[in-house]
Amino acid sequence: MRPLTIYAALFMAFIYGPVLLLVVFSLNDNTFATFPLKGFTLRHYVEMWSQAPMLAALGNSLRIGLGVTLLTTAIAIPAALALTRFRFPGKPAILGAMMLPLVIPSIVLAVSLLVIILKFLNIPLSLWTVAAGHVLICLPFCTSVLMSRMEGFDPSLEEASRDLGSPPWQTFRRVTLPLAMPGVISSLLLGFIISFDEFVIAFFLTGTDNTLPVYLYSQLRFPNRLPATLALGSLILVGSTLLVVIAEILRRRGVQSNNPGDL
Amino acid sequence: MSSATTNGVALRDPARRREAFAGFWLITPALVVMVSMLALPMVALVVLSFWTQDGFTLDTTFTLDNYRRLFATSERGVAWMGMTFYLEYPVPAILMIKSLVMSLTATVAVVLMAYPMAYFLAFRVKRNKAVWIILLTIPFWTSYLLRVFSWKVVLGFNGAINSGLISLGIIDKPLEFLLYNPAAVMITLSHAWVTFVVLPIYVSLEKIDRSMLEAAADLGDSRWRRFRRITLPLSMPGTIAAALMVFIPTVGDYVTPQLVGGTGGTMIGSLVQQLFTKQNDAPMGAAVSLVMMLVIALLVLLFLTLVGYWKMRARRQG
Amino acid sequence: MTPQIAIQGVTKSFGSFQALKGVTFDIAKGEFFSMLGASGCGKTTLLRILAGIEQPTTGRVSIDAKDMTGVPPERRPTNMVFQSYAIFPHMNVEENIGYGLKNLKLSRAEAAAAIAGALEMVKLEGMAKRNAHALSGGQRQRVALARALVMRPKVLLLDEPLSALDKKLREDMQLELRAMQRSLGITFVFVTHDQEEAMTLSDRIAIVSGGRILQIDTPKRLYDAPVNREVAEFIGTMNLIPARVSGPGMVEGALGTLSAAFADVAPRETGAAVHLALRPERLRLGDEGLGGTVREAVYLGDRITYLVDVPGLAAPLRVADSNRSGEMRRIGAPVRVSWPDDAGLVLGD
Repeated sequence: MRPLTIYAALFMAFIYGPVLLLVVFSLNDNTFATFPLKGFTLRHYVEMWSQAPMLAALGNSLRIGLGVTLLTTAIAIPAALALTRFRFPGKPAILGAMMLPLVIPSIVLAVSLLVIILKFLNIPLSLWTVAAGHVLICLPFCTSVLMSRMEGFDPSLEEASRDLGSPPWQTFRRVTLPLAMPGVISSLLLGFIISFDEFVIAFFLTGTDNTLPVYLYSQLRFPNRLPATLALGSLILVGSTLLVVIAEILRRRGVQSNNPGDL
Repeated sequence: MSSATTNGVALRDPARRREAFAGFWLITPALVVMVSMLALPMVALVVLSFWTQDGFTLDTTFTLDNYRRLFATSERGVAWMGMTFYLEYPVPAILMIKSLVMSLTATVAVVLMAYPMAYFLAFRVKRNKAVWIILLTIPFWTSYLLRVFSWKVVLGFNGAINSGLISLGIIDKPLEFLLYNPAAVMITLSHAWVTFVVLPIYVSLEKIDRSMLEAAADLGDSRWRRFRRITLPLSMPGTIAAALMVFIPTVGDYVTPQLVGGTGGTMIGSLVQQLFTKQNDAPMGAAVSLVMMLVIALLVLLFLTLVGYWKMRARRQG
Repeated sequence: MTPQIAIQGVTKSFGSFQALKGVTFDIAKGEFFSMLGASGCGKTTLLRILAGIEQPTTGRVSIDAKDMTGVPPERRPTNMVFQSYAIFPHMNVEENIGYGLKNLKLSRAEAAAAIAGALEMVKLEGMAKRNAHALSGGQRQRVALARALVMRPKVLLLDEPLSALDKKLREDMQLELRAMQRSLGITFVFVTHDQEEAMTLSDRIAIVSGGRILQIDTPKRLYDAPVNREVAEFIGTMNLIPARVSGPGMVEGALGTLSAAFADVAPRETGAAVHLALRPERLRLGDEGLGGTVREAVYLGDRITYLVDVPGLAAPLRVADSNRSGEMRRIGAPVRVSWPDDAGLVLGD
């Protein structure tokens, strides 16, 4: 084997190793995450479901994730359309500003939202304030996924639709939206994953209710609950992985099949 | 097309005006989100940093006190890592420098680790490229908290390395230096961000026209010279952009130092959190956050200017 | 001829770039009209303005005496065949062709009949259910044509529709397009950068360059009487010899004083710098005329092209010999070049 191939294998082991250990220990019949392994068990997974706070947090995260991704994608579709199909003054500046949440440390985003919510607007913290923060951090991701999809197909398809008698809204409904659909689905899935996995903003902006990552974080302080925490973490990892794989496959398939060049 | 001409001449064209209007209309919802949840909160943070906290009451008279305190000098120095800080309130400055150094180290490590992987992906992988790319994408999207936490499981006192080594009989007491120190933070940061960097570098390598490399070989360049004279310079912009995308957010990272840093591995993000909660000094927290962002922005600008200057000089010589 | 399309003082700017710098002309009803020019000359922009996809910066377009300013593409009596064909990838052949019919509120039976008719016209019967991805380049081109024609436009706009096809297919399609246009009797406006294609198809051709129209004429007039040097060089090949006007119908240059036809619209003053233009096929090699030597000879079967060095001329003369004698002159051989009096044209830049 060539050295570079060996390096690639080591690299992947480094990336996935620690995460896989998490899964391994969650299946280990032991209250500590230590070697040697004592035997296979699904006990921790069963125990997990009897904890009411965990179920409440899971419910909160699912609801927030779903609401956030629907709202964000609904905002991102027209934004991506404007940024890829229309010429207007200040477009580069707007595009740059929209990508800012990607480079601002999330703790700064969190405290700035905390300040305006508590000190200026006097709104009590709740799951709603978490959702608002999540819309902000999902927006750049959803917009760029949709933009790359919309840049991927020939703009003359939309011109042809107009030319064949469809006004702008009809053109959007009959041509743009169906062609952008893989991107829309990717955007929905990714928005959901980001919100579902997000910790810092939820940690700062939530009131008495927990989201799943916040609950998980609070459990890390109790060593005797570690196995259940590991089980929960493993489930979250497996779930997110599945969603990411689906989103990626959809995005790629879409891009390939609509490229007239590769016929 | 420069935006200056878009603003001036073209908007007299009615068709262009209509198009611009439609564009604005479509992007309005996103702009509302950006203004209400990014711009206004930032303004609020700036305003708050000019106020002061007095016990439980917030004093809303405008003052530079917070900033003055951050930069006030003192006769008595505080030593840290061989450096002496003559500051009245040295903690933010120390944590800022420490965070910058740790983040920079992690960024360099990340780029050094990611580049060969990206190179492998671009030049060696022929089949199932999509599978590799998806494998590298997954970690980026899955829970940051859990990926950081997994290192606690690996490096911890009762963690995988210690218990593994003990059960193999190599050591008989857990190694305590593994977790809760700056090194653990930097390892964890590198792990968490490295795949984020592979893909942009891969894209910039993939874009390189292969016939250019063939031409270089045809003109007598060895494999190494080909890499140094063609591949590396052409992939530099993508690599630099990716490095910045890691450096900027990691300086203010909160989760990693909190979980694996211990007391020795705290960073500036932890201080911000403490000021807003335990220490109940939100105005100071706001000032620290803003100074942190300002310092990062200045460093990035300085770096980009240096890169621009270096490129200009290289062009003049070449 | 009734003008169907009237283009008046149309300009178009993209930022600081002026794609069209003031264009005025008419296109007659039932005409096969081509716009010919190099890429970036503004011909496609003008076509898109006719379609309503772009709006002119100033000036206006009317179709059938109706001002089209501000009329969006969906409300214009024009349809377009796009250069990329713009076949909807998420629809099959039938759905692509029927796309516009849905906007016309036809009955189901009427729409089906129209689609069947269109499929027959472009010879794609039996391919109705074929997926858009499974079409060859030629088939995509036919679907694009059928999709536009099924709308019964008053004007069909074609943006380099043949440029993606290989040579043989392109030549077949040229004949088919011409026949289709004759039988349908509607106006075709065709954009191309291929002068041979434009000459094969068109009733009239507009030569477009740098955002302006240089000349609009029949293919024969464009070839025989180009208005300036640029048109002459764009259509076919031309020998250009620098000269000065020495009197009415006379020029003077390195070859002495010669009589020549003044193709220019503007009268030339005595002493003005011009070019004497000669088509290669009007030059003859024989026993009389200018003396020179053969520098290069290219045998093409149906003709032989010679480059002849003539003392006093900077560039060699290009002579197309009809190869009637079957004899080829050797390189370096002394020859004499002559031409009939009406062959020389006087052209400005």
